[in-house]
Amino acid sequence: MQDRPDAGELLKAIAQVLEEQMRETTPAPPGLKHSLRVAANLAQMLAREARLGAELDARERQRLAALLGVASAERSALELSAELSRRLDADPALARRAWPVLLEIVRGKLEVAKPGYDDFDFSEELRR
Amino acid sequence: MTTLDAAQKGIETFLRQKWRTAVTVTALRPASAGARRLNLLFDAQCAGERLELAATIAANPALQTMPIGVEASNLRFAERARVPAPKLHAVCEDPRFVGGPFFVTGRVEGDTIPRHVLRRVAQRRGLGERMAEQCGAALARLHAAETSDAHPQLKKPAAPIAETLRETRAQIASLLQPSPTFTLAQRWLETARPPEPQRRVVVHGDFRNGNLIVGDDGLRAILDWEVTHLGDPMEDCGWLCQRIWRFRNDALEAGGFGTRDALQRGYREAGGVFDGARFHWWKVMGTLKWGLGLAAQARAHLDGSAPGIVMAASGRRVAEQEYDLLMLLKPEGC
Repeated sequence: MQDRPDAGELLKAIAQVLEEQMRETTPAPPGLKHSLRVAANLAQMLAREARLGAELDARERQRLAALLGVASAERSALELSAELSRRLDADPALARRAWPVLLEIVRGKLEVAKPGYDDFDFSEELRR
Repeated sequence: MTTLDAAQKGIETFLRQKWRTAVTVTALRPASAGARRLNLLFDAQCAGERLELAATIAANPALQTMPIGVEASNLRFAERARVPAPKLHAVCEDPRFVGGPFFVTGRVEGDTIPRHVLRRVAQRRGLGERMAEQCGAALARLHAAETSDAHPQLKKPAAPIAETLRETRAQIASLLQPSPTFTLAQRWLETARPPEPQRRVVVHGDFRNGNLIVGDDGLRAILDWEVTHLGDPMEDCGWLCQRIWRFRNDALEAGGFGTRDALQRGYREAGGVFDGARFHWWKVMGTLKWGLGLAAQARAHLDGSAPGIVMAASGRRVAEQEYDLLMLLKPEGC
């Protein structure tokens, strides 16, 4: 085990440095502020990934394996999603069963990449 | 990149030659709009008059999707169709003046940055709905225009729906990582495909919040005519209404500023036929295309063809498009 701070804590510290730089570098050359902002966001994202990533990956493999009827221990998430893509392409009727599984996986990715993005659900515009 | 001083000299020299008179370029400054091209704003003193102008420079021809002269002709086409667009003053195909071919247009005052547009809309009651109607009307006029007047080099797929499906299928096959969600969307799009449009029209191709100049009176001009092509009119309407262009103002379908009803009203009142099912199909297609575009940016970072942190970050935005696709394609009872 590594000593504290752990990966997530260090990434947060990196994000803080980048955010400070972004605020203090005025006027900044074109594009620099945007790059710093993106870098700070990515560091924050990786801090979330350090905390949640392993559990989300394991869950993704379990859900995909259950949907495909194979043992999750044997295959990586990459192999399983390639298999699901092939099957969805061959059999669009599988979409109905795959949909809730895919939604859960995508929500997991968003929990790391963009928390809160899944608050909006399009229900108003789909009703019409 | 061209320095501002060099660009000023270059534009001045070109305009002097073109207009055969003394021209002085002053107050040259970069505009914020435009991600891939350089947009400069300036004044030109010419024969005792001060002209307020803008230059669009294709500084990197590798990123230019059509020759600058073709794009410039689209501005003229828009003007003839009574679609608000910057007025074209001059085209320069010679890259030596400012480091790339460019065109000069009249300058239209107003906001282009989406969050500024949305801020203005939030401050003025009724402006967002008026804008959505104006967008609908502008698109209806563009789509009604006689296509034989359009530049002959515009892409004109014989079957726009089939062609678009072929492109996305090929892009899905070449993803670095499989996306079952993209495959699900592709299969839905193939199954639910509408008939090919009865009439192929001139489609702007990137009609969205960010390519509009907006003032207190609403829509003043439509920018960025470099992916304009012949195709299905509902492509433009669906593209504007994707979530990505709402800039967090998600409840307002048309660019985050107006309702679909207002867009549709403007479109119909200007003589267009708004086809709801086709519109939905193109909205889903646009959402898939943007997702594939983000994945392509991540690949361009990884293979070294266009490295950079913004391109790298795009890879982690793919999930947003996947989420939107799943929500748009939610099965009954789920």
